[in-house]
Amino acid sequence: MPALPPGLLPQGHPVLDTEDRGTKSSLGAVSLVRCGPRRADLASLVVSMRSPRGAIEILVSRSPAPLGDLREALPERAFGLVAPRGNPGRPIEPGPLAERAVRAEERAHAEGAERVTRTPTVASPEGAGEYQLRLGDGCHRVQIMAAVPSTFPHRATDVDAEARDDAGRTLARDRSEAADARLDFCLGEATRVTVPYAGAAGMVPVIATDAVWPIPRAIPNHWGARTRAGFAYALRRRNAPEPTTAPVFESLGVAGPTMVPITLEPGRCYLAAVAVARGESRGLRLAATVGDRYMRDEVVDRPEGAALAFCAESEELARIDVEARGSGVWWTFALFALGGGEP
Amino acid sequence: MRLPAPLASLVLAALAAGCGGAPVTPTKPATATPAPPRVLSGRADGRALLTADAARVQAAGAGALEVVSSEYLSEGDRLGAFVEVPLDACALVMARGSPSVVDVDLFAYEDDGASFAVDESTDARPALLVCPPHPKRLWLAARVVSGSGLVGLGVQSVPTSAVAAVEQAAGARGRSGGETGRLEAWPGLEAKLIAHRAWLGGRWEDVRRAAVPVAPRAATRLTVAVEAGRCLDVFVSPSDEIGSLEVLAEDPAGRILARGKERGKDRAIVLCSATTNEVTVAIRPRASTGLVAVVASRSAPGAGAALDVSARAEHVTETRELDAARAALAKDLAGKGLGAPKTVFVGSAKLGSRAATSLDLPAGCARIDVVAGKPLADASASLWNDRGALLAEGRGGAGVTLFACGPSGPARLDVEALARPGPFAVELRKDDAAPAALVAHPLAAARLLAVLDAGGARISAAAASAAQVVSLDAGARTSLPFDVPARGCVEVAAALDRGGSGLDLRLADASTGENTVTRGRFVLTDRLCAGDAGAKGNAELRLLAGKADALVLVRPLAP
Repeated sequence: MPALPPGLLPQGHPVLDTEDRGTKSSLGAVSLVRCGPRRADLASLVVSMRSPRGAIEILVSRSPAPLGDLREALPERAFGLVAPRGNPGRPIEPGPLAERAVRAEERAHAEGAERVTRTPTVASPEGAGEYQLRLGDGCHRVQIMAAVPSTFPHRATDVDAEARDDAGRTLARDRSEAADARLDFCLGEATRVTVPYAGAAGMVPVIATDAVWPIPRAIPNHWGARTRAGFAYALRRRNAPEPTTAPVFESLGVAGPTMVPITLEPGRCYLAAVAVARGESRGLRLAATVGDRYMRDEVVDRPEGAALAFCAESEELARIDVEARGSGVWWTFALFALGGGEP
Repeated sequence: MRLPAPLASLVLAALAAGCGGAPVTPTKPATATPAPPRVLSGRADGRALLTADAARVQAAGAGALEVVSSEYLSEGDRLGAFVEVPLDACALVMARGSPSVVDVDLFAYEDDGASFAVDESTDARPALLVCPPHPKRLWLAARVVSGSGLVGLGVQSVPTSAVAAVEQAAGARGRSGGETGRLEAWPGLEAKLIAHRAWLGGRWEDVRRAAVPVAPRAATRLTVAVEAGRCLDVFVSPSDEIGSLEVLAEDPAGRILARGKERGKDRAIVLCSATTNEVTVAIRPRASTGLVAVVASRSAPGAGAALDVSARAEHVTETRELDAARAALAKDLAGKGLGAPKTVFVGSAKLGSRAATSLDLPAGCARIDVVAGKPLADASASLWNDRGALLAEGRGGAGVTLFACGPSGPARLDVEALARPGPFAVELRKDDAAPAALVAHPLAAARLLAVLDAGGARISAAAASAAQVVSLDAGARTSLPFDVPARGCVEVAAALDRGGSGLDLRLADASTGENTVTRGRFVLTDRLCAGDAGAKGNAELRLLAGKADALVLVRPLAP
C-alpha cells in the first residue's frame, strides 16, 4: 500500500482503490489478520465508513496464533442463520376503528396540529366511497380508516385513497399496503377536495380525520395559492425551521436549469425554498453552493416544492441552482433569513 | 340406426363421462413445458411517426426520408446517431413521438461535443434545419422531456433553393431569415427578431425560446450559456401590458455583466466570451405583471468581430486583442466628462500572483480601467493608498473598473488573473466632476460608483453628484422620504464607508404600506415604482454592526 498523503480522503482517492482492496464489515466489525512476513501489510490502513455518522474503535493485538472468529468476541452481534422468508400470512388486523382514530388524533396533536376533525361515513358494499371535503388553507393530514368486520370470513382492510382538488389535480395519493390511508398535502387557500377511497372490508363504518397545521405567516401569499402551498409543503417535508420574517430574496423562473446568484450575510443561516406556481411538474431540484459546500434537495414524487437550509460562514455569495422538469412549469424561489445575525 | 356393440359401449362411456356421473381426474397435457418465449431480432420502427410530416416537407422540396433511429423511450431517455451531411447542402432533422410522448427536444452536436443546433420547444414536434457552413458529420440526438413512448428520428436532404419552403412546412428553427412558424401566439415576434438579427449582422441560431412570467416584485431568471468563441444574443419582447422592462445579465457571482439595450419596448443583450460561461438573464418589469418572450441565439464561432458596433456587445471574457479593447473603451468613454486617458501600466496578469504598479492619484475623482486583452479572463484589481488602506477593489471577466475619489497622493494597484493569464493595461482618467461628498468618503464613493457603472453603463462621478452622506449605526434608523413620479421608478443606492458592515434597507410605499427589505454587506440598491397616481416613498436605512457613514443616492430611473 502506498504511503498515505496528508489530508487523505479515502473515498474516490486517485491512489487508493478502497473499493477493490477493502475488506467489508460484518456484524458492525471488520477483522484483518496477517501472520509472519505478511504482517507488513498492516503497516498502513484506511478505514472508510459508509454510514453517515458513528464512532469506531480500533483494536490492534499481537498473538502467537490467530485469535479466532470475531463472533466469539462479539456474541451479541451474531444473528445466526438467516431463515427463508416464507409466507407472512394475512395482514394484521388493525384494531378497533375508534382506537385508531384516537391514536391518529393524538399523534397529530403531538406533532403540533392546530386542530383535528372527524368525518364518519359508511363504505359501499365493495368497500369503496368518496369524501367531498371543504378544507381551509394550511397543511393537512387526511387519514381514512375503515372498521374491521367482527364476522368471519372477511376481506383484509387495506384502504387506499387519493386527494384531488377542484381542477382534478392530484394533491396526494396513498397506495401503500397499510390498513389506513394517509394523505399529506398543503393548500394555499380554502379548497374543495375530493377523496375517493377503496379497500375497506365491505360496507363498514369509515372515519376520515383531518389534522391541520397552519402555514407559517412568513410564507408570501403574493405569488398565489399554489405557490404558498408548495412552499409550506416543502418546509414541512424537510421538517425545516419555520421562517419568521418575509423572504429577503425572491425570483421567478421556468422549466430547465436556472442559476440564481444570491448575496449573503456572513454568519447568518438561510432557508431556501422553491415552489411550483403553474404547470405540470415532473421533478424539482434545488441546490445551493456556498463556498466549497454543496446542499441539495430533489423531489420526484409530487414535486410541488423543495427546500434546504444552509449557513454562510465567511461567504458573501452563494449560487442557487433550480432545475424544474415538466410541462409549462413556472416556479418561485424564496430565500428566508433565519436566526443568527439579526440585530 | 344400430351401432356395433364395441362402438356403442364407447359412446355410452363417453356420455356417462359427459354427464358427470363419475369423477374424472384431469390429465396433464402430453407436453407439460410450454414453449419458451422467443427473442425477436426486430427493431423499433418509428417511420410511421415521421411519414406524414416527411411527405409534407417533401412536397415543399425536401428529399426522401431517412430514418436515423427509432426507440421506445421514457422520460429522460435519448436516442441518437451520426449523420453525414454534404458540406454544400442543407438537411432537415425531425423527431416525432407517439401520442403518449408529450415533449421531445432535438440536438445536433459537432464532433468535439459543441452544440450545433438545438430545438427545445415544449412539444413533441421538434425540427432543425442544418445549412452550410456546417461540419461534415453531426451527432443527432432526441431526448424525451415529458411522456414516454415510441420516438422516431429522421433526416431529409434539402436543396438550398427550397430551404425557406421546407423551413415553413416543417416549422424548423430559422436559418433562412423567413418566418419560422414558432411561437405563433406571440404576434410579430418573428418579424422583430429578423429585424434585430439583421441589425446585429452575422448569422444567429436559436438556443432557447421561452415565454416567461414577469412581475415587478422579483426578477424572472433564465440561464443560458455563452459558448467559447461565440456571442450570445438575448432578445426580450414584452407583451402589451408590460410598460417598461429591465433586463440584466448576471454571472454566477451575481455580478452584472450587461444591461439590456432598448429596442423600442424590447430589450436585447449581446454577450461575447472567449471561454464557455453560464449567464443568467434577469428580467423585471417596472410596474405591471405579464409575460415576455425570450429568444436566446448564438453566433457563429468568432463572430464577435463581425457584429455591428451599435450592437454594443459586452465581453464576458475578453475576445479582442488588448489594443482593440482599449480603443473600444476610449470610444465608449468619449464625451462622458472624463479627461484624456493616461496609460499607467501595460503588463501581463498571472494566476496565483499579483502584478503591482504604482500610480499617482489626482485630487478629486478618477476612473481607473484595468483593460484586459485576449486571453486574460476573470481579473481582480485592488487599489491601496500609501498607508496600506484599501481605496477600491473589483473583479470582472473582461477587465475591472475602479473609482478613486479623495486627495491626491501615491497609490498602488494590484492586478491578478483568476481564470486565465493574459495582457492588460491600466488607464487612468481624471474625472471632471468631483462631488464633495464623494471626495470626503473615498471608499463609499468607490463602492457607489462601481454599482452605478455595473453592466457597462460607463459612468463618471457626475452620476453620483446627488449622493448625500448619512451617518448610520446599529442602534438607530435613518429615514429618507422621496417622491415617485407617476408610472416611474426611483432607485435608492447606498454604499458604506469605513467602520461598519451590514446595510439594511427597507423601501416602503407610504400610501400602501407595501415594502421590501434588502440587505448587503457594504453596498445595496433597490427601487420603488409607482402606478398612474405616483407615490410617496420612504427609504429606511440601518446598520447591522458598527458605525459608519454611507453615501446614499436617490435617483429617478428613466422610464
